[in-house]
Amino acid sequence: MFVIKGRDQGKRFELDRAAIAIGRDPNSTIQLHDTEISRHHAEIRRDEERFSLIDLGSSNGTYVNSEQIEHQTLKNGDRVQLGRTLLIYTGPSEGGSQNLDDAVNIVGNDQSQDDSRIVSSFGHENNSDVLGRVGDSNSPWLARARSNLQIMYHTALAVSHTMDIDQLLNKIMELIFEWVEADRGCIMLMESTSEKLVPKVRRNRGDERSTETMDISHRILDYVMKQQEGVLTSNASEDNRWDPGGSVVDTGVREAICVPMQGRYDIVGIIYIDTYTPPGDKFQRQITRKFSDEHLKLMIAIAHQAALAIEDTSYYSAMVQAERLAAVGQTIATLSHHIKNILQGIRGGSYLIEEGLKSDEQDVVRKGWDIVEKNQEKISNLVMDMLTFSKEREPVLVAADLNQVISDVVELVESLAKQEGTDIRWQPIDLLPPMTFDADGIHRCVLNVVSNAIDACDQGGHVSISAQFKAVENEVHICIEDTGVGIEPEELDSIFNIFESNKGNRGTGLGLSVSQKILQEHNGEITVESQLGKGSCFTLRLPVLSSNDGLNSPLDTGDSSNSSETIF
Amino acid sequence: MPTDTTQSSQSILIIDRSTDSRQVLCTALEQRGRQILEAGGPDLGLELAEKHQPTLVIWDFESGNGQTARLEDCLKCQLQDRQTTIVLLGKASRSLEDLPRSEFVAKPYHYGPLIHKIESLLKSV
Repeated sequence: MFVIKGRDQGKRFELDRAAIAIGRDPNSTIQLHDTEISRHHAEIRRDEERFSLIDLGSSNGTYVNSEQIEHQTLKNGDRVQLGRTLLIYTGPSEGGSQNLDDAVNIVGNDQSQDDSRIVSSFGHENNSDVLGRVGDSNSPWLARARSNLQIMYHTALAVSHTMDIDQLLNKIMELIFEWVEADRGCIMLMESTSEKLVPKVRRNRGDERSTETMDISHRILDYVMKQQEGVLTSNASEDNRWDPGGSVVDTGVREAICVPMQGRYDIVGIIYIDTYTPPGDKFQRQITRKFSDEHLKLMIAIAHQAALAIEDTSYYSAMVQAERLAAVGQTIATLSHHIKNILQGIRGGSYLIEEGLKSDEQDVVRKGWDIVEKNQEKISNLVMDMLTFSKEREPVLVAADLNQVISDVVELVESLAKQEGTDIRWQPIDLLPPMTFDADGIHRCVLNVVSNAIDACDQGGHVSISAQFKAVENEVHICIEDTGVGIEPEELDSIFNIFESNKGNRGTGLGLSVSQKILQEHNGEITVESQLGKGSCFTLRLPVLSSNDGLNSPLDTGDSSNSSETIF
Repeated sequence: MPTDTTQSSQSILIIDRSTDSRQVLCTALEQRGRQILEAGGPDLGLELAEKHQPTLVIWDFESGNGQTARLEDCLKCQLQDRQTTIVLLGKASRSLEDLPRSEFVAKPYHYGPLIHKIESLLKSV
């Protein structure tokens, strides 16, 4: 169930249980924060692949496709209304999708099998040529029909080319003013929370910057919204749908068209156009009808197209929002899990320190302190990885010594490796060309991969780090090889995904994602080869940029060894 | 060094993926003269439980993959048969709720109260 309207707009609920309670109650599976929904409003029950919606005696009723129900089997696309909240049910299509593989055959490229030839071709951008010029036909009816078709075609093009509602509405109003001799126009959309019409576009012919307030009769608006039909008034005093003494005559309007923007599910707004004569001028001008029934019908069709486009844009926005919420939710849950485990470690270390101090046992204090220190490092790494991953950053390119950067990493992880009983070997590269790169970034990148390699060895094993300059590609390849457990072949594609980790509680799932991001910022890449039970080899490919390519070069000082400051 | 005969015959098996947690519990309980066995997962835990038949098991339960779940089932059966006292840390599977002589401790926990609980359970065995 997908909430497309209401306070919970954007939320998505999987129907993965036999009975799903819907209501305001916090214990409801689908909890909706809508004051017009009962605490235990309705229930969805599953029967094999079918879902039924049952009203539980709610105060305001349960509606499916605008019909009040007590018990209804849901179909794909059904819209469910509870209070002010509108949900869409998406489920398997009835009848399933047809496999037409055998019904359609695409013939081969061999021309001897295909005797058809292209006689002519036409692109959609030449639509006006397709429809012909309006004045070409002798039949006024045909000319009008072509004209209307052209207008609808232009409208369809306009609505298909933008997902921005404001742009879309402005375009619609522009098209209307091209085809209809209106003096003023306005498009108003229904706001989902207040259910009031809110002006979105307003236009005056000839005076684009008019600041004069546009008065629109609320009687017309009410009529259109309630009756869900478009109206044309050609002479307000003879139109008995409203009181001649009412607002329409007082405002001086002679002709007006007001149409509902009827979407798939609901009216999303109205389009209003009128010809306006100020009260002082209306008896001086010669009054002729500008609007006809044809115009009204055309406006209804245009409004419907616009409404569909607006609904699509709204649903798209709701979907994007839902996906964002889901991603944020997953991120928060995963990070909370890791932080919780780190805090548990710090708590444990602190406990040992306290116990050791009480009993005056230095070795217990030392054990406790080592645990605290290790977890401080973990949380620091986690925060730095989060920052690196979340930011769009330009690498700070400085002339730096790659051998030194990697040596710093090895020095940093030596104690960890020793603790794990893992042997680390690093052979600095001899013929290294001058390079510019983000030293902090590459340090982090290499550190993450080396740490992973040590973890993979899991008590014993070897990690060897080497680097080679590849002249043909103008890259330095840093290879980090381990004799660890290896990676499952089906997992090789996903190990760089965020929060993917096979290290259980020890891994945050950020390390490789961050390493990949940093290398990509350098136009490099990271590749992996692995054999289960034998180990893995990660290759970090770093393009060689000379100091002339770098943005920040301290070469003038002649000091490249101190060009970067590590963060540890 | 255990000074009490009963104490010296009682052993505690710690099954926890976290090296830190195992180290804290081991150090704190050894300080109190307990015999400690530790395992980083249910596979080694099963092996140690079969071999040493611990008096009490401290088990940091995590839902794992299919293979881990199978091992956990074996371990559960074994512990159930022997009426071993179990302290379950963290989120427990529903299948473990019916284990007799078991205590649940939610995470995050404080080590002080946990150690006291373990001590009192051992005294009652």
